[in-house]
Amino acid sequence: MDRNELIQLRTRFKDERTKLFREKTVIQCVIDGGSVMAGAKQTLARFRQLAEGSPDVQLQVTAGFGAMWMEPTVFISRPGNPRLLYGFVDEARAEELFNRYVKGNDPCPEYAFAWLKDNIDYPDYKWATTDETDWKGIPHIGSTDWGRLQQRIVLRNCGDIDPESIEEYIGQGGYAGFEKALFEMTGDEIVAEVKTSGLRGRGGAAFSMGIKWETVRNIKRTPRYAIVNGHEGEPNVFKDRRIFEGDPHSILEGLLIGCVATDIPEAYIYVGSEHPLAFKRMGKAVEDARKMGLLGENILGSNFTCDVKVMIAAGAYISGEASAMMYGIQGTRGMPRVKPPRSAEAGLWGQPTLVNNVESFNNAQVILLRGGAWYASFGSAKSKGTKVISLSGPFARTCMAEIAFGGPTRDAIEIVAGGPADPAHPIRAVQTGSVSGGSWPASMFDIMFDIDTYGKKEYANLMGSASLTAYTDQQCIVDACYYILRYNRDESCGKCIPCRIGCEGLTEMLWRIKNGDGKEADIGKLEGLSKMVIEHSICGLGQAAPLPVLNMLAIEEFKQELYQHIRAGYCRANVCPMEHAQTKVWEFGVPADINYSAEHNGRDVYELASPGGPQ
Amino acid sequence: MALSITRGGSSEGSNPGGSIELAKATAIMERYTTWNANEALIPMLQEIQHEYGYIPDVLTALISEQFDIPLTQIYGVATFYSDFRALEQPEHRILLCEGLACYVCGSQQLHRAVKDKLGIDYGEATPDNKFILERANFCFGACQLMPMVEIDHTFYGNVTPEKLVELIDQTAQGGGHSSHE
Ligand SMILES: Cc1cc2nc3c(=O)[nH]c(=O)nc-3n(C[C@H](O)[C@H](O)[C@H](O)COP(=O)(O)O)c2cc1C
Ligand code: SF4
Ligand code: FES
Repeated sequence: MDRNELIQLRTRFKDERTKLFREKTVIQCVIDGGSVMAGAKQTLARFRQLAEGSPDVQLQVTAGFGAMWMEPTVFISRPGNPRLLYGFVDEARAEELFNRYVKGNDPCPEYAFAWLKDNIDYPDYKWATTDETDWKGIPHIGSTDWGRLQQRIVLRNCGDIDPESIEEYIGQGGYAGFEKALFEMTGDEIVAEVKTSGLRGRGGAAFSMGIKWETVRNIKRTPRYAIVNGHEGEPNVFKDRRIFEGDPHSILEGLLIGCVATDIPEAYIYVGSEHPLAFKRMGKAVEDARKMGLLGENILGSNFTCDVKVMIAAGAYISGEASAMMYGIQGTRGMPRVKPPRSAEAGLWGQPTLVNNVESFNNAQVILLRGGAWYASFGSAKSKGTKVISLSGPFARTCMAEIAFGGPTRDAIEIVAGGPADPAHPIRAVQTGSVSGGSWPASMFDIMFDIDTYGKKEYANLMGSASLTAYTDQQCIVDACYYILRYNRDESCGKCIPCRIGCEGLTEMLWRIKNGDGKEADIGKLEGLSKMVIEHSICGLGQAAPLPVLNMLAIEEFKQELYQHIRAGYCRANVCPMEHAQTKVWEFGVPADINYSAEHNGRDVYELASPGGPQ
Repeated sequence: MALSITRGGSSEGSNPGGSIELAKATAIMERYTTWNANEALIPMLQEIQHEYGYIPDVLTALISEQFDIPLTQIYGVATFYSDFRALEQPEHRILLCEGLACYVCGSQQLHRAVKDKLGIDYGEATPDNKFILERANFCFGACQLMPMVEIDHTFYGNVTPEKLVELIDQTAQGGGHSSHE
């Protein structure tokens, strides 16, 4: 296939899609890793059964839409009517919808969440536009709380197209960025455009993608490789796997653009083994692209050659770290190594290697087509563009969403996620950065959603992969902190002694505190040990693992809670076992609600509580 | 990697003496002969793990010989990554999701329920080698259904301790079905 054929195909596929939606009723079921667990497959099967023998009903699969709290979700579009989004569609509701809306003409507004167009038809990919009004009592998605802040650049095709169909992807303008990179731009121009965009890596370290590409481009050594890091072993982050499941071709396109810019003929896509469906769909996407001639030799008649291999990981969170991941591909233990040299200089097999996250690569197409300056017009001063966030815990809406940087964090918590699931238990803190960061208390919810603001040293926190987990009065900060340290202890590769032993030490200390054996001196020990681990670890795991401890000590509300555990043997949320707290409090009669923090100035509770009072 | 080498209770499984069917393994290895040996190692072990439920020593030796990879490297990989098991596994696996959301919203109660019911902690197997309890140090990716449990590749959401006990009983009686993709 050459360039002209691709352009023709694009028009043809687009027309076919338009025609399909104009002539038939299309039912699109969201089938991805998460919705399947909520029963989406049964819903799809039910629709299949119902639609049997109706030639004017077409069933489709789509994925990665992100409205997880109301899964299984389904889109139905009838000719002439807008596309409607329905939530909680189990088999019974599927039948009802089919009878009432597909066969009859009642859109069931009580089940509909919103109506929407294809995401790429919105200017700047923003759902909130002023000129859309309600349709038969069903709101437009841009006027719902969940939708009005979203700007879906990375998720531009998720929920609109069939992820297993390369035709649909091409029809939606797919591979146009790759085409532009091949025929209209030089490598330097691509790199310059990405640099202008100000895009920073979305895998956690937030390093400028443009500078990384430039570095790799300037190192001429061959052979050279590119890798998409899709390991995503971090708990409560489900963005990469949804992108794999919902829009694998755009990852491939982003990767190919990176390969053109840095002149790399061989690339890998590394997919975490926890997401079998992501691996399957990505594999199919690569195969389809190869069949179409978008991979291989002299692609589209240019002299560019590139092939891509999809590799499966084997668990272990640490093997998502860039250098560890490369050892994984090389078939060895995934243990990070000391840097420098950076992977741009010595990566896979010791050769120059370009590594970026799934979400980072996914932005590339849009940046080339719309321009880096357009992309940089969104977001805050130093964090440009949008970020896919994963919201979980006791929120009203557990979901995946994409918002621009620069707003207050409160927006994500109260508007996108809709506040607490149960109004009786308001959200008092959110954990950010999953297992590599601390939390924000409710008093700080207005903090700007921005990589550098989150990363300010005094808070000991990180944005990481931007997952927010809610804590209400039923969750205990000390318990969550213990969880994170224990997690990191389990997942530490064990190469550096400070990380291996330090995380164990912190875990044990926190366990003692949880169990009612905390001592005043533990506070100093926690702080000292945490700092030591951070300073002496060679990779991001050890450097981030103790952050929740430091964050707990840095933020007054959390510190009070820790003091309550240590001094009064009292866990407000009633989560910690406190098996030994009795001897401490109840026997000696120290009231649990006493304000220990200031008055007693650091004396041990044993001293306080011993008969006769403090000596 | 405290959790990755999970050892089953006793070695008297259904396969005394460790005799295993080699045909499947050779078929798997056949498919990777054109690959770079080192790159092929992890995908190959994944398939073997999937097929046999663990990585038998016989096969590590065989791979080492056929692909010219040092045995230490294969053993290193097989014990490092959390997907691989070194020994034959009990019949049923109870895997509790311990992502942060599940952990703070209920998986601790589930852990306690299994402990009370079967008397096993994480990484342990029941004496009759029927059940093993494991902790998933990752997120199942459906946090709206927290807390989640996977039993023999079937996922269950919004699990309460009572429901989990029920599920265990059903599994022990040979019920249960597979919806895993
Ligand atoms: C313990 C640890 C785990 C990591 N896991 C991932 C991961 O799952 N996916 C990812 O893209 N990056 C992960 N990273 C970050 C990578 O090391 C690397 O910075 C990133 O892939 C670079 O891509 P980016 O510049 O696009 O962010 C991890 C880092 C550490 C320290
Ligand atoms: S910091 Fe921890 S995880 Fe990272 S290399 Fe060192 S021991 Fe391994
Ligand atoms: S934390 Fe258990 S499903 Fe996400």
